[in-house]
Amino acid sequence: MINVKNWDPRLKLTWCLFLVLTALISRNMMLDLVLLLTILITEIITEKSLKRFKVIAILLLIAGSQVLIINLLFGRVGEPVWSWWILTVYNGSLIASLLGFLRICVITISAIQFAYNTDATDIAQMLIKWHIPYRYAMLVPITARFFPVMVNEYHSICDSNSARGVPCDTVMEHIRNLPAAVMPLIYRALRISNDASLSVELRGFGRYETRNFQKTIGLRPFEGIMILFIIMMYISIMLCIMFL
Amino acid sequence: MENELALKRKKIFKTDTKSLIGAVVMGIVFVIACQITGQIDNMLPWGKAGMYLINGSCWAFFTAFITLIYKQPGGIIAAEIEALTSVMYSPLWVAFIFANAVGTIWVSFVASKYDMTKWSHHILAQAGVCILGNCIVTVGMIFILEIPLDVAIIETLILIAVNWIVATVITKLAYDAVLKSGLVK
Amino acid sequence: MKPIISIDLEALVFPEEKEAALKNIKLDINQGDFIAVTGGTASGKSLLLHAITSAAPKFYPCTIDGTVRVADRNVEEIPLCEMADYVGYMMQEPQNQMISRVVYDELGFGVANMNLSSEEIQSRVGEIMSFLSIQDFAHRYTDALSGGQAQKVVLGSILTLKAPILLLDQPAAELDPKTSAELYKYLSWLNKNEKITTMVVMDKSREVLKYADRVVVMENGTVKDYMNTEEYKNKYQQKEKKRRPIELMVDHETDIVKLMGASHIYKGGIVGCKAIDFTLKKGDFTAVIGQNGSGKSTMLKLIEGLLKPTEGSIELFGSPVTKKNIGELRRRIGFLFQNPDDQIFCSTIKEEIGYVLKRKDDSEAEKNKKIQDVLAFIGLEGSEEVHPQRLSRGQRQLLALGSVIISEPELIIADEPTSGLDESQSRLVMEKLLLLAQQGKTVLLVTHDLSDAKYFANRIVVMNRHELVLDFNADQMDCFTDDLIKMELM
Repeated sequence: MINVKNWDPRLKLTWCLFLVLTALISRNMMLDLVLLLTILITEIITEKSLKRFKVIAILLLIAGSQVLIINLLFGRVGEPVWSWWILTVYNGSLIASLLGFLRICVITISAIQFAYNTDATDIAQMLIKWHIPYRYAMLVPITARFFPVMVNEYHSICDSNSARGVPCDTVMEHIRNLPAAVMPLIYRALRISNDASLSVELRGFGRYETRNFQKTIGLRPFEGIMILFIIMMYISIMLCIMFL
Repeated sequence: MENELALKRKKIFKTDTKSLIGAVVMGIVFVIACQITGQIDNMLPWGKAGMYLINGSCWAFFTAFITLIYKQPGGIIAAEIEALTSVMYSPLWVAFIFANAVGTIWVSFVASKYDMTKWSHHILAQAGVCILGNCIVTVGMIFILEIPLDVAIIETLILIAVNWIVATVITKLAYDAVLKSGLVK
Repeated sequence: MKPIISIDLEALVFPEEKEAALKNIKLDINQGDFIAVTGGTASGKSLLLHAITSAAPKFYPCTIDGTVRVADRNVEEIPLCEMADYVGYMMQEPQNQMISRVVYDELGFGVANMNLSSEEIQSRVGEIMSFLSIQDFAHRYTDALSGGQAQKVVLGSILTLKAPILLLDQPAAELDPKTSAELYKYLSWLNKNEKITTMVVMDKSREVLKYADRVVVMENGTVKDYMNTEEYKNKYQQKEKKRRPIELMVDHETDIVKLMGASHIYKGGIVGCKAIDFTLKKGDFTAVIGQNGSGKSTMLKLIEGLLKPTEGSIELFGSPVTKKNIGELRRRIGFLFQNPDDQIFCSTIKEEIGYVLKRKDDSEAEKNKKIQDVLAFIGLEGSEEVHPQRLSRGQRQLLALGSVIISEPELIIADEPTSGLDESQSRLVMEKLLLLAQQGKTVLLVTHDLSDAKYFANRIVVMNRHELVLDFNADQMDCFTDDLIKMELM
C-alpha cells in the first residue's frame, strides 16, 4: 500500500483541483467517466478498497436520482423517447442527468479523497508556506480538534431533549423543536470558544510572528515534477475542450 | 477591549484570537445545524425534489449571525468551514464556497452601515444573503447538476422568498438573544 | 521579600453593571505560597484569578481602578500572550482548553508558541509526561480522553511553560475522589520542590486544604479573610457533617424503577453495566455512587430509555419499557443533567421555566402561577426577564431543576447535578432535591461525591466495575467504610 498521507499536501491539492476543475469545465461524459475511474483506481492502488466512499456513494446516488427525476419531469431538450399522458421524456434530459451525476461524483469524491489523505496540520503547514500568518493557518487543525467536541455536545443536547420527552416523532415536531436543539449548541459554542481562546492566548498564541511546528513539509523533486505534470495535463485538456 | 467594542462601532474587521477561534467553533455549529435541517428537508416532499427550504433558511441565518458576532475575517472563516465541510453531504459544495463568501461580505457591508438593532437592518442584510447566495447556488445547479434553467429559476425564487422571511426572523431573534446573554459583548 | 503577586484593587467594574465585581482588595502573595481561594456563589473567586492573569480587562472588558502586579510588573503593561512567562492558568472544563488533536502536540503547544527549538520542546514535553505519568496516551486524540486524563494534559501543557505561578480554578471539580487526590498531590509536589506559587479556587472536595498554607476567603467581591489553613479550619469548617435526619414517606409497596438483571454491552464488546438488579420505591431518595467509568451513566441511560438492555429487563412505574410507551413514561420523569447548558435555550428565565407548559392546556393564569411557584422554589423570583446565560453555573442548574419540576414529575433523576459546582452552589441544588423528596417525589441521584450521597440521600447504592456491589441505608454508611475505601470512593 502506498502511503499517500506522507506526500506533500500541495501535490494532493493540485491533484484534487485538477479533477474538480476538469469536471467543472467538461461537457463530455466520457471525460467525466475517465476522471471518475482514475479516482477509483488511485484509491484502490493506495488503499486497496473503496470502503471510504461508501457513505458518500449513497448520498451521491440520492442526489443523482433527484437530478434525474427533475430532468425527466421538466427537461425539454432533445427528442422525445417516451410519452405517457402529460409526461414526455426527452433523450437530452437523460444525457444531462447522467452528465450531472458523473460530474458531482468526480468533484465530491476527489475532494473526499483529499480530505481523507491530508492531515489538518499538513494543511496548516501548506498555508504557512503560502505566507498565511500562523494564527490563521492554525485554524485548520483547530477545526479538526473541535469538530468531535461539538458533535459530542450536540449528542448530549439531543439526549437531554429525548430524556425530557421533547416530542420528535413528526416532521413538524422536528421543526418546532429546532431551537431546543440549536440554541443550546450556540451558547455552548460561545462558552467553549471563549475558554479556548483565553487558554491559547495565555499559552503565548500569537506572541511571535512564527512558531515552531516541529513537523514541517517540503516538496520532494518527484512531487514537484508531478505537480508540473498535472498542471500541464489540465492545460492540455482545457485547450482540447476549447479548440476541438 | 477595542475588539470587544467593535460590535458597537460598526467595524468590519475583528482579528483577535477570540473572534478567530469563535468563528471556527461557530462554523462547526453551522455545519451541524445544516446537517440537521438537511435531514428534516429530506423528510418533506419539496426536499425530496431538491428544494431545501429549511436548510436554506438555516444557511442564511448562520451566514448573517456569525458575521454579525465575529465580523471579518471570522464570517468568511466560518462560512468557508461550512462550504468545505459540506462536501460530506452536498454535491453543490463548490457553489457554496462562493455563495457563502458573498453572503458574509454583504452582511459585513450592511453591518458597517447600520447598528443592526432594527428589523429593517436585518431585512436588508438577509436580502443580500438570500438573493446573492441563492443566485450563485442556482448557477451551480444549472452548470454542475444540469438542472433545467426554468426549474432552477423557479426553485430559486421560491427559496429566496422563504429564506428571506424565515432567516430574517430567526437572525433578529437569535442575535438579540445572544447579545442579551452577555456571552458576546 | 517582595511579593510575587501584589493586588491593590479599588474596584473592578463590568460595563453596564452598577456594582463593582471586585472591590477593596489588598493582597500580597509570596513566592512558594500555596493558597486556596474560597467563598460563596458569585463572590469573585474566579474573577480574582482573571484579574491576576489580566484576562480582566484584556479578554473580558471591564474598568479597573487599582493595580495588579506580578513579579513586580504591572499586568496592565504585559500583553496577554506574554503572561505565559509569569503565570500558568488552568480553568474548569479541560476539554474546552485543549486546542490540539493529539495529546503530545497539546503538551508542546505553549512552548512551540515561544519559538523554542525542537530539542527543547521535546525535552520539556518528555519531562512533563514522565512527571504526570501520561506517556501511555501521548499519541491519543484529545477528545478521546477521560476527565482525569484531560485534566492532566491541560496541567502538563501549562507546566511545560515553566511559569513561576500556577492559577487553577476548581481543577478537580469534575473529577472522582481518586483522580482529584492524585492531582493535588502533583500540585503539592511542584509547590514544595519547584517552589511554584500556587493559587487554587477550592472545589467542594476541600482536598486542597490538605496542602494549602493559607486561605483567601471571598465575599461579595472582596477579601473577607486571609488566614493560614488551620485558622480557616477552626473558624469556617464545620465539625464533621452529621447525617441529616431525613423523614421520607417511602411507599414500600410501589416500585417506580425496577431493573431485573439488566446489562448493556456497547458495540465492540465494551461493557457498560452487568446484571443490575435494582428497585427504587416510591418516595425514596436513593444515591447511586461509583468512580468515573463504573457504569453509573449506562445504568441511568437504561432507565431513561436512551439505551436498551442487551440482557434483562426494565420496568418503570410498574410497566415494562417498550418503544411504544417510552415517550409516555418519560413525561412522568424529570431529568436533571450534569451540564445545565445542554437544555437551556430560551432568552428569559420565565420562558425557560414555562417551555414545557406550552404543550399543556392550562390557562395563562394557571401557567403564570405555576411559573411563579417554581421561581420561588428555586430562589429566582424577580429575575423572570433575566437571560439564563447571565446566571452562575449553580443558578443555571437550579433553573434546569425548575424547568424539570414544573411538569410535576413523579420521579426525578439527577445525573451528577453538582459536578463543576462549588460548595455553596452544590448545597443549594442538593437542598432543593431533598425538599422535593420530602414533598413525596422519588429522587434518584447519580454522583461520585460521597458527601452529597451521605448527607442528603436515604439509601446508597454503590457501582464498581460495571456491577452493583453494595446497597445500604445511608445511616449505615460507617459500616461500609472499608469497602468504600477499597473502591477508592473515600
